[in-house]
Amino acid sequence: MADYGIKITKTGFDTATAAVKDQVFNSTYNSFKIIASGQITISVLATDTGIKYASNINHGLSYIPGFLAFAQLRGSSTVSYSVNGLDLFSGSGEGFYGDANTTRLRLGVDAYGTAYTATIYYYIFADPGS
Amino acid sequence: MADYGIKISVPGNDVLAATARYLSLTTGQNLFKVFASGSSTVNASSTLTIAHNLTYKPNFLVFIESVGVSGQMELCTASLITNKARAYANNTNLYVKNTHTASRPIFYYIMYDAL
Repeated sequence: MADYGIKITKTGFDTATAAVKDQVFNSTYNSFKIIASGQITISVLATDTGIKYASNINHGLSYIPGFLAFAQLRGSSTVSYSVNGLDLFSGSGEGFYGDANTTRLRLGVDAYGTAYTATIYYYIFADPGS
Repeated sequence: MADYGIKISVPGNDVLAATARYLSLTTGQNLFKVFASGSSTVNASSTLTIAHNLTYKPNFLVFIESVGVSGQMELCTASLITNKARAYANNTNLYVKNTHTASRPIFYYIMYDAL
């Protein structure tokens, strides 16, 4: 097998001997590649109940991609919660949902009869999630 | 401190001036390096064990099929009631717990990078 590539260590480590966890980059190993990212908002009306989903985010891939998302919710608009953070606030049951299939990423928040705007930032990876 | 490494900016940004958020690659900051990845199935009301033997707790991502929705995957966090699944790791294994009454496909990434 050909021995080629790029390897760069964290400061203070010898490239020739450093373990992979002490390297910041090693072209032998895969890294997550972001193909799309962005910010969306979901306007939850006082009359909404259950999960309110944002419009689908079409990713244009023919497979299910990996993804991450973070949301600022009604319970605390100054903190970002990770996707599939559920029952976050005592008594309110507020949660943040996300799932993907071969065409789209879908993100949603719980609605509990109080109007507010959830702000969500998402990443979609070229790397598969299935 | 040694000044070395690679820096690549996203289109429209000067690599000499761009802050990290406008760089597509900078070796001045750590990147997740994938130690292992793959697909599997976790049986109904069971816990799947995936050995990594790294001797430390690695960062990881697990995607699991949504309950009752074939071909749709969600990030597996710690939601035993609503999403009926939980993923966690120790120094030797990654575990995926499925509290649903049917088996579910998963896809996982285990990083070299420690928690």
